[in-house]
Amino acid sequence: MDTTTSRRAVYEQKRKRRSIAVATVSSLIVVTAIVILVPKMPRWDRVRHSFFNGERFRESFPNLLHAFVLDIKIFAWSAPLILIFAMLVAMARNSRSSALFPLRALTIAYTDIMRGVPVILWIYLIGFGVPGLGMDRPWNSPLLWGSVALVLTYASYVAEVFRAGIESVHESQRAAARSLGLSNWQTMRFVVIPQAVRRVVPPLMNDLVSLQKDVALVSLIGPIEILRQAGIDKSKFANFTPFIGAAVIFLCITIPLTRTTDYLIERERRRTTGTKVR
Amino acid sequence: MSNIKLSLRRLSKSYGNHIVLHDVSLDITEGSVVTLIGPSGSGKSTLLRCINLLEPIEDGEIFLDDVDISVPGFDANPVRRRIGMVFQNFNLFPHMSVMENIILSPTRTLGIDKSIARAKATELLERFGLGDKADAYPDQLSGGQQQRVAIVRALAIEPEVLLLDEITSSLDPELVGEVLDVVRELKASGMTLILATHEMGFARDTSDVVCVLDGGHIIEMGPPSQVFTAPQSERAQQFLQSIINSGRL
Ligand SMILES: Nc1ncnc2c1ncn2[C@@H]1O[C@H](COP(=O)(O)OP(=O)(O)O)[C@@H](O)[C@H]1O
Ligand SMILES: [Mg+2]
Repeated sequence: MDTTTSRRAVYEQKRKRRSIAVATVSSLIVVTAIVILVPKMPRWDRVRHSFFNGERFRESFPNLLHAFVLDIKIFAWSAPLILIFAMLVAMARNSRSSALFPLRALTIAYTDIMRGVPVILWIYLIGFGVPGLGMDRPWNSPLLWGSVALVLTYASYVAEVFRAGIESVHESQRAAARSLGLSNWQTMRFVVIPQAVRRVVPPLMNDLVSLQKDVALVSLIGPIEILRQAGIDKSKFANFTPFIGAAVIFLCITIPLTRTTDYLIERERRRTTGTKVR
Repeated sequence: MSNIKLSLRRLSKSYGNHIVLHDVSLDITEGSVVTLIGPSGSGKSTLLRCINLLEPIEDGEIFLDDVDISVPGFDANPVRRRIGMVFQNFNLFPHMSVMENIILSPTRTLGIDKSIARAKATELLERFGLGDKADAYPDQLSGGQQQRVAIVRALAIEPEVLLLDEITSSLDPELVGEVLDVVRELKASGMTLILATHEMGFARDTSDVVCVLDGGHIIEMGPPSQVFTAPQSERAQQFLQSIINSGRL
């Protein structure tokens, strides 16, 4: 290096090299321990055969991919509905007119009830319950009502995220907008909501990652998506490897999403709180 | 006798049990500059917010051109387009560029065509030395520039009265001058101004009427020559003495 390299930079670089070395060595020790110890377990051979069977993996993988298309579809139509419905709920809950009190009470009841019961239970209740009413096709489809259950539950979580975002926009922003003659609605639309949404992108992404996984719960009421397909292949082969295949496919989607989320959180944190303290 | 633009009659306001404004009465002549001074917490901001109908009042009336705008249920939005307001902390919209901040209300509430609104905004920005800042975002500007943008934003709806709430109080001392210059120019252009300020020298030199507030009461009111040199009430004398002692006048 040339003479402009400062003492501080040399020191930092040395420290960095050291911590990389420490991290590498400790990871190697852990991985080696697993690789050596796990195969020493009494039933390892059987587990390897029934969970990590290369041939079964290759056989079921195309089926799984094919079934995963349905997961993507459910996600693709549920996510926008969730965002829209959640925003409406959040806005109703944040409304200030006293005439809208009943609406506010209703949204509070809705979010409390939906969030108070496990998602899976709502999928059973709505997905089996409503088609049980005996409506004609297509209104008796478990796929439809399973999706409705997902939308209703997830919207209640996302509505709370939006609400937190809306409340985080300082009152003085509303005062400024109102003083310019903007109506309450225009203030929301042009001033409050754009700032609120920007702030909640990271938690919103977290919820979308969860949704991507929870779509598989719809399989429990019938539709053949990836989890159910894996179950079918498992029975056919009498082998659990298809579940590993399904896990791999999920990871291919959720890991990039999660990394992006973390990146966005870090960027937002840097933007709002300045440099990190060492 | 010149035109009374705005008239406050026995205005009262409280937060819970805490009375913040007591029977405040004040007439503001068109084209005049009225300055509110007084210790902090005396009710200056609250008074300005009430005039802008941002806060409901409990008692009294506010007349704008002889129309009572404080009647409960009176449509506040058109009134606010006639009474602009600038805040201590600028309150620019951080997600919008300077230009977008300025044309938001003209295009959305007055229905002015975007290109016309932009042209007018550009003109105003140039008039206040901000011609090259149209595409900047508020975060990228100094405090003085942000406050001038906030003034331009308020002016863009062509208000008849402008309320300025301690608009230099969050500025570094070296930036105060550029904002006060803007206020002087507004006065010269004949705008009716009501301002709360701690800049006593400015209040003395620029105002037509000075009101001293204390504990929500107007304790002294009159031309600056009288209020600053021969205040009548004891509280006002004390207040002015404290200012003189701290070297702010
Ligand atoms: N939103 C509010 N809720 C309760 N009290 C308030 C509120 N805003 C102001 N006050 C009180 O009203 C009084 C006047 O405040 P303010 O008008 O801001 O004074 P000034 O601008 O002269 O410093 C203070 O005692 C303050 O604590
Ligand atoms: Mg104040």
